[in-house]
Amino acid sequence: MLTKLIGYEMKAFGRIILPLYAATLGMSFLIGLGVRFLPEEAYNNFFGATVIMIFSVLIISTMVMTGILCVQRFYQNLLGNEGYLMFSLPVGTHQLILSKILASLIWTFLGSVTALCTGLILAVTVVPYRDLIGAVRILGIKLSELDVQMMVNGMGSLFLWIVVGVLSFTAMLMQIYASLAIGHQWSSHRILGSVLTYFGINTIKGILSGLLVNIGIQTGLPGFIMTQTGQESLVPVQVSAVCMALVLIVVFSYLTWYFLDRKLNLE
Amino acid sequence: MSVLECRNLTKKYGNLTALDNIDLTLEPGRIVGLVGPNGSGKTTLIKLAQHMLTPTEGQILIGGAEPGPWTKGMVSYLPDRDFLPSWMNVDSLLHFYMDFYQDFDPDRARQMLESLGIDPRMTFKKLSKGTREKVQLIMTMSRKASVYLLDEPIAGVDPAARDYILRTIISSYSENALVLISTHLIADVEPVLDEVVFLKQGHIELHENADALRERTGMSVDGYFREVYKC
Repeated sequence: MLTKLIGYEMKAFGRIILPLYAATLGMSFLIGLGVRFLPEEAYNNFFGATVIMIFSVLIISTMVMTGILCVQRFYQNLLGNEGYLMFSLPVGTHQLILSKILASLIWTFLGSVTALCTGLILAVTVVPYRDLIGAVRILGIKLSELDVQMMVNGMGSLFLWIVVGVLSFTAMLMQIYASLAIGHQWSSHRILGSVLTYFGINTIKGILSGLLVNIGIQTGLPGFIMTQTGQESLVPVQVSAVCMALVLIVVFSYLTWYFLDRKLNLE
Repeated sequence: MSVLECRNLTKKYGNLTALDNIDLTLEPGRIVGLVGPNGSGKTTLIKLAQHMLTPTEGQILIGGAEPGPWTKGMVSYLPDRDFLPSWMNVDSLLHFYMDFYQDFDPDRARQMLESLGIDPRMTFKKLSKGTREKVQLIMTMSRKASVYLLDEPIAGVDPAARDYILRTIISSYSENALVLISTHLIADVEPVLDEVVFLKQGHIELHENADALRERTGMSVDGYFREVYKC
């Protein structure tokens, strides 16, 4: 059932976001070709500026739309009228929440891939083929000159940062979902209730993290020592961030589940 | 054996008591009218049966179990509003129901859509209000469920559509199923009812066989309803 829910969620997202991704990729290709083959005066004017502006707007709107959809799908599909359909399905509330979060993560990942592809397309179309091959060769040589241990460390650190990024993003999304679920307890002005809940949670988070930092400094926990003394290894900081994000994900997931399963208040 | 049972069921919204210590037992194979004026607790009872609300006190059981994913697999629910995703077309909705409900009969749904001349390629939001209600009813009644919870299925549609909806309900439900119809338009549904439950300010005022009620009072159910709820 979870797979079906995710599939349905992917479709709902895709019908809006895929045309935007396609437009962004197509636009980057056209701009790349224009820069490469048109004479400089053809794009170094108002027309060129307009094309660049449209491209920038597309990139920004793709990112913004992905974010909006992550929130809107949860709100509209679970807390709006569609909630009557979704909460009538023979699935658990946890599966509904999980499908929303997983679909959001998948689409955010695809959005990042699209942004990367945009850059790649621009590079491939703007830079002449020979220069590109040359650049790749130089990059290969430079990489092979690097110390293997340093590369392994670098890759490990990069991987950890990616994990930190994904978990922090998930925690942020879950905080929004929990705020929406709690704000929906209000009989009216539910959006306002959700926004106030979000800021209320942020305040509590701020107070708690302040307390934790103080405790950390006083008790000399390794992660805090590293940040205080500025030592080279950031691993303890990353591990702390991962633990913090995991705790937040668990807390917000439980809050979201509790208010959707036990205190559901559809209009 | 009862298919829907309420035991000392109470639901409060803050200080407001929507349902107050309700005891109710409904058997399969019956069409039951849940009637009462606005605010009498009809929708609250249906939402409790579908786990869209949780009881403040007491219990509600569907097929002997508390409402949850398992009972939702045996309950077909029609809310009192547009609840299908507006961006989907009718055919996608059909596939959605097929994906999630094992008891959904797509052939029956297609047959009903065809008999009403509804194009499955049409997007839900582009349909007229009456047609949207019909599509929702078709989806709900095309399941071979044990319990049908229909919340105001004929409110907001023209009399011709009402007839169609009632005919669909009668012809679609299986003999062993319970159909609970919440409505305040009693005259329209009266001919199909086996039993009636009168709700008044969160209490059960009456639960009786429709024929027995008519015989006892010498009035139609609608006439008796007007008598009970006279302002």
